[in-house]
Amino acid sequence: MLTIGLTHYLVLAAVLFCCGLYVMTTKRNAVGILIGAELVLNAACLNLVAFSRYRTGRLDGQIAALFVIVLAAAEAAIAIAIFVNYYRLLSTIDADEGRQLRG
Amino acid sequence: MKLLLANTWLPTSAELHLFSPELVLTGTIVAVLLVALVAGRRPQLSAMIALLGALLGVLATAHVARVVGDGGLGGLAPPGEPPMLIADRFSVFFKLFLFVLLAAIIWLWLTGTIERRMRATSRPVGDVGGPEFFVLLLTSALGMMLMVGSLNLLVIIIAMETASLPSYAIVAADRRSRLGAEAALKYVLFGAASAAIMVYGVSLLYGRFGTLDLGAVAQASSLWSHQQDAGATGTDWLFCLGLAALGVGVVFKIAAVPMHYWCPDVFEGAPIEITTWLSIASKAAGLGLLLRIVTTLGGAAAGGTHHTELLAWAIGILAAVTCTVGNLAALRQESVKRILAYSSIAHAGYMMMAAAILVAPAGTAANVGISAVVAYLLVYLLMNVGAFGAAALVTWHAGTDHLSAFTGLGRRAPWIAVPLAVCLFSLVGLPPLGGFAAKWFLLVALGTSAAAQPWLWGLVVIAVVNTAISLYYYVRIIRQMFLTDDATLPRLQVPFGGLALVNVCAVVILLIGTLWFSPLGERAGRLASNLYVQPTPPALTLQP
Amino acid sequence: MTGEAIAFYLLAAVVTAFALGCVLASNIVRMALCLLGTLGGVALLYFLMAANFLGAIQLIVYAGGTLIVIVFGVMLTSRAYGTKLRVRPLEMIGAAVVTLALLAGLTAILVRTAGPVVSPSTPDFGVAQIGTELLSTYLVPFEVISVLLLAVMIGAAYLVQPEKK
Repeated sequence: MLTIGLTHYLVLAAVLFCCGLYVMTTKRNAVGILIGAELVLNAACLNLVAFSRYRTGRLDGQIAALFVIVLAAAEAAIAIAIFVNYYRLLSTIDADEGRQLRG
Repeated sequence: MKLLLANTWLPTSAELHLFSPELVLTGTIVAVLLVALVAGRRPQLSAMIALLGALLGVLATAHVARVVGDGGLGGLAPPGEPPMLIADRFSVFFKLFLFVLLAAIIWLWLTGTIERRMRATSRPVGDVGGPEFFVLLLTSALGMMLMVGSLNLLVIIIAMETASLPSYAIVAADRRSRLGAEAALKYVLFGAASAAIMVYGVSLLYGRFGTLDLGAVAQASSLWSHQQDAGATGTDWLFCLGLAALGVGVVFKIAAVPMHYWCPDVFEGAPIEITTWLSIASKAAGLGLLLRIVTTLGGAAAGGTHHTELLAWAIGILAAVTCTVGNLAALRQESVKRILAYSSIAHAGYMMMAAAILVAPAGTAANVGISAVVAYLLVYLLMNVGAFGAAALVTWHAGTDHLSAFTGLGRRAPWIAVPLAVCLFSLVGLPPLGGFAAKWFLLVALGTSAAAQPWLWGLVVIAVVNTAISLYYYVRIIRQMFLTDDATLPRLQVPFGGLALVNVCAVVILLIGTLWFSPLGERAGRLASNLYVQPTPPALTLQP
Repeated sequence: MTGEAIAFYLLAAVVTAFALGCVLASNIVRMALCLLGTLGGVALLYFLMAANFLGAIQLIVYAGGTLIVIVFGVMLTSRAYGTKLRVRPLEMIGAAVVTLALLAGLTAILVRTAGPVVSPSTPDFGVAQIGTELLSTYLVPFEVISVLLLAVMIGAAYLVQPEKK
């Protein structure tokens, strides 16, 4: 317990993953779901870095984590743009396009 | 500086040559943007450039196809490293497939623009275009090509996101459509969730096997399984968990159960050109990736292992459920776009059935499934472009895609109604149409592999029962077109370009079902043979 | 107890607390704040694992960029979504049970397969090495992601630009 190793990081990442999964499944808010996805992505990054440090000893895990961070940023940008677009249309009073998708 | 360059590897021109289709596509993206910068926002000009790029891409792919021989080629990685991208017959087929589809979609868009211009003021909603639209379309195509052309898990993730992120935006391309905005919202939320889970799965696989290369993962996992001895079924839970999480992302792309909820809503809300694009390209790329993963894992585990069997069962069950859910849900729909959306879910299920074959213990028959899917995809492309194209022509005219818009189409526009009927009958799988050929090859592939995996007979039965169910909702559209009529409805004036596209599809479907029946099977078999495999097994350092 | 262990447990506690904050928060702004805490904690964990460059990138790109985008999103859309997050209790309990079961299973698998604790024998990687790798072995993903970022930029700008006419 006193020496910190791979297992510690992996379990912490698993906690993050499950928190993210819970947020994604229960929140009814678009930004909330996005935040859940970010938590899961962070868990994945933590895994990658921990494996790279304690198991493979190679740089590839860190590089992969770097790419995942960039992907998360890109995904957040496009998601927020879509939310804003949706909100813009929702707030305009436009009667001829009233039908909503069922679900 | 000199020292740094001496140690740095750069790709050779021969390697870059091999990946010229991707380069052409990237060049087209840049060209669309630069021309818009110089010549101003002219949507039709952008469309022309994109169309030209797609045709150039076809040429580049045809050129690469001659270079790529047996076993394929890997490249774009320093010597000693596993390849980042690979080019084999399967990936070349996908590139050609996507370029042809891209050209058809842009053609459909051009037709739609002319159509909308003809009735300029009547309906502003539905007007999409501009350089952004084509940049997003082409970028998603680039991502889909890379999805099928790599064995590196990191590249696969990035390729999937490159295919997905522009697709999310393009669904809301019609900025006045509230339905489109809502569809994009649903799409991006489902997509973000499944992509995150997938990345977590990749991190587990990386940790388990210490590599991001799928080929090395396959070899390590089969080695581990054989170490456990044939009889003892020790399950490598971390591997299974990683694979399952990776599968979530793939299943989302295919829109198979249980990640299919986004599909009908997105298909209904998106502009119809994009619906056509997503219904074919996104599913094809997802299936290609699935087949790639399964063949790599199954190919390394010569003789089959406990894990590959589990994987085959999982895929088989998902395929059967997907197929049934898609067909049953389609029965209750009133919107033609939604009917076709559920039908595309069902067809994804049929094609996924073939993916369950590939882990069959008989090593020599390993490519039967791929050749069945290749044949199916070719026919599926024609059927869906034809059906969605015809639906688009009617929708632009009537302003709605409700079933009632198709009333009396046999009289009002026979040149749409007849090819649409051909496409729908082909989607059912009736002879003498292409859809029958596709289903025939699929069922034969399942049947011949059933010697090794007897439960594949179950899939055959499910496929046949589902075909019978699907007859009902396809025939409903046909009945609406030919057996009901309302004399007050006027004849349809439709642009020639759209008619040409739809009729060409119908004629080719008819030809495939008759004259080109066996050539299709042979061609597909050749495309599916001698895929890329890791030439030398890398050194394995695996902890139990 | 070594300094590393103390630092790890402290950071782990912080990260877990903020992640649970995300789970329990009933307000979207508070959720975003908790996400900031989690991201910061994870960045510090990267420093602890000697992944200095990654820790810095996490702070700059993730905490500094992505989170700002999310906060903007919250501010621009808060009226449409409402600040109160309603969750049905039954669904909440079901999800909690499933998630906890998953956590237990995941932990069991990870602990069993992670193997014995080994201290890292690898050297710390520098920025120069990461740069060289990015432009040699990882050239393809690097180029692809640059095309993706271009497309995302264009797509996002297209969607949020004000309507003409």
